[in-house]
This record gives sequence, structure tokens and C-alpha cells, in this order.
Amino acid sequence: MKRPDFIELFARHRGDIPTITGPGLMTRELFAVTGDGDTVLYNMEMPYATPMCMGLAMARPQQRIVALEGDGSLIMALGVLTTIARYHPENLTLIVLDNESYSTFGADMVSATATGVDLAAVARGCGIEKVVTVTTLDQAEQVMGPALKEPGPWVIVAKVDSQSEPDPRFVRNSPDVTEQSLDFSRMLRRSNGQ
Amino acid sequence: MSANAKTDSPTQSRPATKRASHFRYDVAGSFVDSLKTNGVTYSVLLPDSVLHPINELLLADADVQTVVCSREDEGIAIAVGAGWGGRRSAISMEGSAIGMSGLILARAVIQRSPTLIIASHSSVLGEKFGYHAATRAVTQPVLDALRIPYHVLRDPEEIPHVIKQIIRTMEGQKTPVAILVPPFILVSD
Ligand SMILES: Cc1ncc(C[n+]2csc(CCOP(=O)(O)OP(=O)(O)O)c2C)c(N)n1
Repeated sequence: MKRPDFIELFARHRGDIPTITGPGLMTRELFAVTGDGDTVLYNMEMPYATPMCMGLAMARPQQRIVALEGDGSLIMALGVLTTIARYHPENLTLIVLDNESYSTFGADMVSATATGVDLAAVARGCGIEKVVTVTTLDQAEQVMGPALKEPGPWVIVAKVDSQSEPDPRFVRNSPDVTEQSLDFSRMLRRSNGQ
Repeated sequence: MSANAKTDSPTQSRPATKRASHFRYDVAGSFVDSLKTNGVTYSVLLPDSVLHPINELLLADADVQTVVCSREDEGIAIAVGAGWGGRRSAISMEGSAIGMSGLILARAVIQRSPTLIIASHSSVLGEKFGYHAATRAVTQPVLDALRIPYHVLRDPEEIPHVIKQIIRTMEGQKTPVAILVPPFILVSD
């Protein structure tokens, strides 16, 4: 499965669900597809997209919250899977783009998932039950609807090709971090948990 | 959720262990009351020897939703997220954890996220254990480097005033702030 195709599929299902992404090329691709609206916060520091979404999800139990991370980012934050399992925020969906590499620096910069670490098994081992690995767009299409609507917490591990060239549609850098964060927080205040 | 999944909730907590007599629960109570009076409804913690009585009271308090994190930098991110969700949040941790949290604290400063950090083991007054040397060395320098406002408690009597003012600072300036708690505030001689 090609990462930009998966990103497009996710963007189609996402609607306006507040989403925080880790860094990496997927951020640029999601930006290319969704633009700089205020419902996606791009480029969170590496291990923190998921914990930030976890706090947000607990504070907003009626609102779906999505964290989008690379395998490298999640490997840096494995402990948070234990915290998610422990507190079980049903409205949290974690999507891991597992390309078995730190592909921002080239496909040959492999991560531990290339040598056998199974992030879905880790999530299950922590006690998270709704964990699905998808390897094709058809599988992703089937699971994305439920994973963004039905009670979780969900962990979707999307196995994608390790592609290190950015999407050609990407034309500009994402906006200033402070400005973007304030936009995101204002959007959250306005949406008021719905 | 399957029947054997164990999710944390106040009703599932273990039988309480006996309270250690050397902790000043009256002071811890005043601390937690001040947090609540000033609107804190969500807290994150990781156990610590000085802040232990505060942590116990937070975990037992139905008015404050409390999460035990796996590491404190994760916990700060969780607290920041809860803040975005509209909850006034605090995190209680050993001072060493500020050393683990430089990047997430910097992020919180830059994205203007108000978060109250309660940390123990400052380098001021009465910190006697040699094995806390690295903890002492990291706590205040990291806060100074990031220009995060903080106050070192010196007298339990000042707790209500300090918490009120520091939360005012945190919300007014949209910044993380810290209260540093030396051992003698919560631990009797
Ligand atoms: C704490 C920290 N260390 C290193 C980096 C440098 N960095 C930026 S993106 C990235 C790779 C992330 O890997 P992954 O999450 O798998 O995403 P991918 O590059 O494959 O899209 C790294 C290491 C960083 N941003 N933060």
C-alpha cells in the first residue's frame, strides 16, 4: 500500500475530526490533501501526538480524536500504549503509518518494525483490544469507518511502502507552530466537545 | 471490552495502604483543596516520595480525574491535551522528571498551553539525599532555560495564595508554570 493513497483514504473518512500528527513525510502528504485548516495539528514533536490526543480524548469524551504517527514516533512512545489501555478512552483512534523506516531520512534508514517488532502485538500486549493491521487499501477502507465512529480505543497499524520522496503536490511548508496551535485550540473551544 | 480487561477507575482501586505517619496530610489536603478551588479538574501523576500524600488524595478525589502516566513527559503531553479539551490540568512528579521533559515543556511554551507542574526535590532547603543529586541539578535549570515561571514553596501557610496566583499567571500568560515542593513542606522531621 502506498502511503499517499492511505493518507487520501484517511482524509476522505476523517471529515473534521480533530487530528494531531507526528512529524515526517506523512505530515506533508496530509497537508497536501487537507490544506491548512484548523482541525489538523501537524508536526507534533515525535513522541507526543498520541499522549496529547489521549488527554484531549479524556477531556472530550463525546468527540472523536485521532493521532496519526509514524512507526518511528510510536516506538519513541511505547509507554503510552499502557496508559491508553489503562484508562481506555473510547473516543481515541491511533493510526500508525508503519513503513518500517524513518523514511524522512531515506527508505534505508530502517526502524525496529523492519526487524520484526509488531506494533499491533505490542498494543494488544498492553491490553488494547481494538487493534487492526491493514496491508491493503481495501482492508483500510473497511476498517476506517468503524475505527472513526465506534467505541475504541482503536489502534490501526497501516503497513505502507517506505517511500522517501515527498508527495509532488506538496507546495509549501506547514504554518507557524504557535499560530497553528492557537488555531487548533480555538477550533476545539468552538466545537465545544461535539 | 472483554470481561477480563482491567480498566482503571476509582471504583476498582486496591484496598488503601496504611497512611505513613511521617507525611503531613493536613498540608497535602490544603494543597489539593486549593487546586480544586482554583478549578483543577484533571491531574496526571507518577509516584514520588515527597508528593506522595498529595498523589494519594488526588487519586481518591472524585472531583479530580487523575491519570497515572508511564513517564512524565508523556504525562505533560496528556495534561496539555486535556487542557485543550477544556479541563484545567495539573501534573505531579519528581523534579527529575523535569529533566526528562525538556522538549515537551518547550513545545507547551511555544504552543502557549497553560499547565500546572507540581514537582518535588528543589535544590533549596532540606534536600538531604545524595542520590537526588542529578534531580537537584536538573529541575530549576531546565525551568530557567525555558523561562517557565515557578515558585519554590517555603511555608505550608502560603499554599492557597501561591496556587491562586500561579494559576492566574498560567492562564493569563498561557504558559506552563511550576510549583516546587521541598521535602519539609510535606514530610515531618
Ligand atoms: C526527538 C526527536 N528526535 C529526532 C527527530 C528527527 N526526526 C524527524 S522525523 C523523524 C522520523 C520519524 O519516523 P517515523 O515516525 O517512522 O516517520 P517517517 O519518517 O517514516 O514518515 C525523525 C527521527 C525529531 N523530530 N525529534
